Amino acid sequence: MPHGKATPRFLRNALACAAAIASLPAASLGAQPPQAIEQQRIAVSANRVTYYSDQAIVQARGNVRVRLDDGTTLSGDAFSMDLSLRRFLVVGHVRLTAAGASYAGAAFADFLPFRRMYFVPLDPSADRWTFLKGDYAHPEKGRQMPGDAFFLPDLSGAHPYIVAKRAIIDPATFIALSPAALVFLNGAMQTPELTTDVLNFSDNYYFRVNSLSGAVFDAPYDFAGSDASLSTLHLRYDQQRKFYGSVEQHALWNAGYAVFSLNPATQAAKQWNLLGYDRASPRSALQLQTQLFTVQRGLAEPTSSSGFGDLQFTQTLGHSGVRVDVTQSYMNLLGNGATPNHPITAGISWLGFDEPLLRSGLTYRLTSGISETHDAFGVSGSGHPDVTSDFLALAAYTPVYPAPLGTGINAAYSIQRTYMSFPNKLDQKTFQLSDSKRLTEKFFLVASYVVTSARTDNPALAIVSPNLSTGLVPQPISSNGLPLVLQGLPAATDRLTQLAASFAPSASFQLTLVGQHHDYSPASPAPNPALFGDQVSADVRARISKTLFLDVQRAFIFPSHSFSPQFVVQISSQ
Amino acid sequence: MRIVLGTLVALIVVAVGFSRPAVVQALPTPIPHPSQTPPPDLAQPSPTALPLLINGQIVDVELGFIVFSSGDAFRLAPASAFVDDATGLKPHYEIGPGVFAVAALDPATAQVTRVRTSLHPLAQGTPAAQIPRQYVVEASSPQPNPDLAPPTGIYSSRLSTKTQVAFTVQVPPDTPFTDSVYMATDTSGWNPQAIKLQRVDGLHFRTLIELPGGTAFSYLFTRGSWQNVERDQAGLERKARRIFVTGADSQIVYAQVYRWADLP
Repeated sequence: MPHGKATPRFLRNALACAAAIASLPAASLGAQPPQAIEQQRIAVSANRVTYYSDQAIVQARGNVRVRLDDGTTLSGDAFSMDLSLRRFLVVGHVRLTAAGASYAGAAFADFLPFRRMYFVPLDPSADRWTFLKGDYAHPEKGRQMPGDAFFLPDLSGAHPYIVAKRAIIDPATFIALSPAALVFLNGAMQTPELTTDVLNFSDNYYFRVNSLSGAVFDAPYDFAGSDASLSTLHLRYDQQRKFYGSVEQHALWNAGYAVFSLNPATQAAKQWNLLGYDRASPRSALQLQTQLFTVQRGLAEPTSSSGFGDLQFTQTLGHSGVRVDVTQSYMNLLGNGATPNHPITAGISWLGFDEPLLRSGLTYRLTSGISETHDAFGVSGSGHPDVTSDFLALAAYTPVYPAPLGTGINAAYSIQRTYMSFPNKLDQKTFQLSDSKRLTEKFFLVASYVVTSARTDNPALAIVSPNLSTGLVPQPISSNGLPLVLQGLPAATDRLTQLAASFAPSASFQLTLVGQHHDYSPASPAPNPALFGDQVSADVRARISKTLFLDVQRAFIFPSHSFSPQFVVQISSQ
Repeated sequence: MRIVLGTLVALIVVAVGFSRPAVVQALPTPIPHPSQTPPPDLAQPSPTALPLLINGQIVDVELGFIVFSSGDAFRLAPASAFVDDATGLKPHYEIGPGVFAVAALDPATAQVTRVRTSLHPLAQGTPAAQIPRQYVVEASSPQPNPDLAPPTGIYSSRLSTKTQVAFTVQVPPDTPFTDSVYMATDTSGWNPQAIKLQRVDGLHFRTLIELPGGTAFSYLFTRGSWQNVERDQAGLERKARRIFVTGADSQIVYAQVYRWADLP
């Protein structure tokens, strides 16, 4: 079949399936977007605006001007907002101007979640007023106030993280400070004034969907944003690329998001990424993942370009779900005489929910799928331009049963058979048996025996695909081809015996020790010792500040009598 | 190797020095905690001997009034003086919002005659909110505020200032056995490795966290990155889980992860 000339039959069928599923009536159950985004902003300007990251407090002093969304303006000597309480106040020589009202007073406080504004007027006499729901023209006079209604947090011993002159605050989503000067080392160092620094603290995780591939160091700088967008520059480092810069853009709407990134942006070999997700209905969603790879100086004409795209449509049924998945690769996107090739995989898979097996206590899950892959030059170099793949998988597990010596025992078993029209078939099995013991409230021992195996009739005829409907998705650990590719081997089995001790005496410290013994076959070629060699590993996670944890991991590998190639050291926030 | 390690260590040192760490994707969303203090007890007389000493934080000195952060305003005598509490001299700092003070009020005139100030809280005197009302300038008669009624249905946390919350999660059987499970929280800027859980048996992970009553946050379970965040039973992205800490001595949260995003 000539590439790119005609729509393959299987693609037409897959699209027809997608259309049919999309037309299914939507029911009322299912998840909604993570959180509604509040539309309420406070614009502050002053001689000095400071942000205290540890306490989530914004303060401004000197010639303070505040403007609210409804047009209300306030001026005063000081402004303070506790982002955790969503309360702000303006104090000292306060002048309040709102629709139909203008007052002079000593202090104003707005408790945003309750739409309560407390005000102390001084002219003609001191009093206590409360404005309800933004009605400044009709204050409730004499109404009691919270005892700390106008209390300014004592920050005399604290150092701000950012110093600026203006701030835009969306109490539910972000604060944007400009021109922002960052303060480091407890006030010992301060950067020059930069542009805008946006601090996004939304509870909507769509803002944090990551489209960048891994790096060992990443310093993000959010330079623009709103309640529906976030623009970020990244300074990154990895051992292959060294230091480089990347850019990422998030866009959100009520039921989805899109994330674009260029990574790295500062080197010739670039990845252009686009992720998209849209909750088409409470029971269905469309997901897009695309990557374009180019080699180009700056934005000059690329010397190389390739890419792939993956589009999934998922629909929830009664006790299961179906997913239509289309993946297309683009081996060469340049019109430079090279022969273009656009292999495509399309298919549909069915995902059963967890179901109890009668009253046995066992739980099982079924999964199946069918797909077709087209490659004009032969799928996986086999010479077959079209290969159909279908699979059926069963997973079953027991609950944790009481066992002798006060332990708990459970088992899980999964099996998957995949047929490919080369012809070939692939069997993957996993059996896991665990025995656990709680020594104290904070000290656990878990002994496990895990057997993972894969077998195929012809190791030369196999597919590794990112398309979920093929059943041939690479597993997270796939050294030596286990369990999918097999690297020329007809079968491979790994028997893992593991003892893990986990000790967490407090929320600030956690220690995990793991001993592993692998019995891997075949013995030749030798398996990767880092993954299939006997080893002892340790992982220590300890709090180093109010919000930061240090995580250090290392393993000693017995076949090579050496430590793992590197420490894994990570600082993460909590 | 040494160069790489050295670079890593240097990066860590720099990162730790940051108020906001470089490797953190975003600032933690602050954890809300209860803050509203009860209304002042209007009936309670001041235990302070006359002249009254008023303790509080100044928010304004203007138009002949001194106003404290409780919202209580007192009239200033024409010849009132402000002195620094430590030196007894005129303060070297500006008398404005945030300055702490002990004000001496003459009961005969109901006016503040002398104010000792400091940049730190002072110990003397009676909190402004507890001063007898006849000395506080209020044009309107006091009215009750229904917003300040104590909430019902929530433990008052008098026995424990923090609640021990036990999160236990059951993971799907195809979870790679050597993987770790984490909680990503909005308070960590959705860091996918914010809270590491302990494996307790072949199916379950758990963690114990002490949180103040009233804490609320959103979270999701991951295996360490957004590529392997949890999904719902049909494989759709799921709504973030939400916890509200009621304020009891302990609280148990049981969750089940049905699927991971990276596994069929």
